[in-house]
Amino acid sequence: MVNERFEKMRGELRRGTLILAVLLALREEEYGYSLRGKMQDVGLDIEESTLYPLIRRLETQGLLSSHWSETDGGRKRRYYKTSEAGLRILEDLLSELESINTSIEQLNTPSS
Amino acid sequence: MNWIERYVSAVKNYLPAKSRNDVGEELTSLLEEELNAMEESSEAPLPEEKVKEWIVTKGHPAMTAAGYQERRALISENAFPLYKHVVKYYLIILAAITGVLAAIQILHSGDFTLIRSLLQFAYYFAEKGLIGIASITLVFHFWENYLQARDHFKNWKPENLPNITSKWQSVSYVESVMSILFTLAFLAWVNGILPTFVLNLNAGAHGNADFSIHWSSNFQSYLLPINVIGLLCIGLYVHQLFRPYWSVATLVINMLLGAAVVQVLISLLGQFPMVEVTTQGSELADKYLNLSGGLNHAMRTIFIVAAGITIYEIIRDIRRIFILSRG
Repeated sequence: MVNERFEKMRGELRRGTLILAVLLALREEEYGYSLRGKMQDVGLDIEESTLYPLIRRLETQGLLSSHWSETDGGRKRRYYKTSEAGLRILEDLLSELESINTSIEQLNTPSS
Repeated sequence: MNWIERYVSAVKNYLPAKSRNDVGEELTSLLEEELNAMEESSEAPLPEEKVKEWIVTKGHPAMTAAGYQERRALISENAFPLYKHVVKYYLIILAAITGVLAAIQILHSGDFTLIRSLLQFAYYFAEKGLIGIASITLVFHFWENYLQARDHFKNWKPENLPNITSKWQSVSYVESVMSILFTLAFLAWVNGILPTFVLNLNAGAHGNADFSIHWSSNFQSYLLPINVIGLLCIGLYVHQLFRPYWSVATLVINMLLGAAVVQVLISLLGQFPMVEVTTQGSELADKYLNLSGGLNHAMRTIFIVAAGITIYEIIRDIRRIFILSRG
């Protein structure tokens, strides 16, 4: 029960920072599958059913740009990259996260 | 057998036409990448059974498609409080109307069976309730923005909050609904929509009535003020469904309505007879003379008691107005 509650809260916490993580990761061009691997490598194991629709939504909002490309083997891939608008919002989000972190740190510091 | 192709084709069935091909193409590419990576790591093509197992982990096509759609819920989170409000009041009003209609039907037919009546009421309520809820849901789903349902609760004013100082200030939904029901039933009774007296009902049921009881013309001349007061009372009770607490304004209205009721009751006491018994022949008139006298005496007693209770309520309202004005 406690674990279940923790998992739910952890999911909510992660969801809140997911957009930030994707915008950061896509400062370098990636396609969906490679992006997921990149996130996994840094410890962010995000379900593909969450990640893939999210990058499409961010692209629709103009925060990512995308283009189709063909590999040497003839396989088609859709590449994504954080757009100019995405970079601007990323900057704001990072400073917001920093401010939240500072507040949390202060709350977590035992008062003397 | 190409399981990816079949899976993506199923997903596309759940997607809107405008994004179907684009999402389908991208999903195919992503799934093929993943399958290819798995095959590369095992250095051999995966057997069909394994591919089937793997495709199951992607989730039901409908769920995958839902992830790609903007609208995830039938009613959005912001519009949901207003939606709940509308459904709640619809059900309250429906229950009141259904109850009155059921009572009228039972009293008109003169055939009262508790279980059958309850079942009839439940059936009607369930049928109209479901149709109503479905209609409200569809209206909210398609016209949420037009209704400005998201912003409905944004512009609330603190001064409209109830100033609860005493327990009596709250008016429960049950109290308001019962008041509406009783007032409607009373109006139906005095207007002859319901049989005026149980004696008529029984006599009519046996088909051998040699008398009938009805309101006198004296009483009928008071129907207009009685109906107006009754409808105003219903208006007040309906208002209290939406604002379930007493305020100075509602107390003043209630007090004025009470004063009007007392005025009508006192006037009626001077109108004798209120009830008349009509017989089929003049020789029967003597036989039912005592019945007529008894009924009129009973009506006078009821009116005196009702006037007494109403006067008590007026005094109580004055006291409450004083308490609220002071507080």
